[in-house]
Amino acid sequence: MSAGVGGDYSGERPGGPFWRPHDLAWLARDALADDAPEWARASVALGLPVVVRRAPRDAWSLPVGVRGTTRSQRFAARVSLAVLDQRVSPESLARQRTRHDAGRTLLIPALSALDEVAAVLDATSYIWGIGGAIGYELATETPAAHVDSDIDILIRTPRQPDQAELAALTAALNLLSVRCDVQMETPIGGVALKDWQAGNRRVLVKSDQGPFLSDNPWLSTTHGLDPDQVASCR
Amino acid sequence: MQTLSLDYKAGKPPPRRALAGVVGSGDLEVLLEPGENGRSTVAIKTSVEGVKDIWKAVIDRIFADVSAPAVALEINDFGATPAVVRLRIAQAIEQATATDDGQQASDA
Repeated sequence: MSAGVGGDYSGERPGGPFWRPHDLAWLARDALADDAPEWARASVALGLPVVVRRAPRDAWSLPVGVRGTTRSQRFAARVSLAVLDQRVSPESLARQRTRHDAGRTLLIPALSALDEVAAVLDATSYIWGIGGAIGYELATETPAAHVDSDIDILIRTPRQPDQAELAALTAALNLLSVRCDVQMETPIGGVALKDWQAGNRRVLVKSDQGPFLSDNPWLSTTHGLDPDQVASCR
Repeated sequence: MQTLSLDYKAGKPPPRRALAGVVGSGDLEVLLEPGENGRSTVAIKTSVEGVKDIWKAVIDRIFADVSAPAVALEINDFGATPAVVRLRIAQAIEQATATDDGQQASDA
């Protein structure tokens, strides 16, 4: 079995683009079911995107999370593939860091630090992207970040990354004025860079089948369902 | 910032302290100190509002076994899910109770 083909959608897959965790998805405006909270339906009705989340996949639906205006307003939904419209990846947000609202950039340190962060990441060998509140704000031009927001950065690590390059990345990010939270997207799920660098015997992997501990996410055999037998969620 | 303190009956303290988890979205940091004999304490700080009941239910289940190691846990939560909470606490207890060759002292 080639690396990355397993019950998780973090890694590369044959057959072209598909929805990955952290992707932003724009939906048909009436896509959420009546059992969704009022604020969540209002968000989608306004044309705001949802975030693809880690949960088991099937042939007909995509697990997504709706962001509200407060930290406790998070709603986990499952939407039909038929209601999906535009997709924006964390990578594309990192490439187009355009912000039309200069006032927000002045107000939010994480937004004003983005060019510095990009200079650090662009100098590495990694494909990288921006997620979390900052990614959401870049994509939607609506206020999502706050004054002490950190920057959620995702790096694609289909193979085990070189420890020295990771150490150099952490050192360079630590020199910046804003805190960056780097997650590695391994073939079996997301792993916090800090967790991997802490040198503990095992790291926490956030997979579509739920979190689990792993000695080495690049040596583990993938587990869970064989996606080729389940569905292609393209 | 919300805080929550919980208290449980427990067995004997483990031999050493431990640290599990990381500061970062969707994760938490668990600082484990050996507790007083027979008693475990858990102090949780969380940035997420309205989740006290969920936290109490998750921690109650972990410490339901009164023969579990006596620990004093300090938890800094950054929006972890209950499954992540359980794994990180298990990881801290595993580190605190492991013997020198890396094997578990008990059959945890």
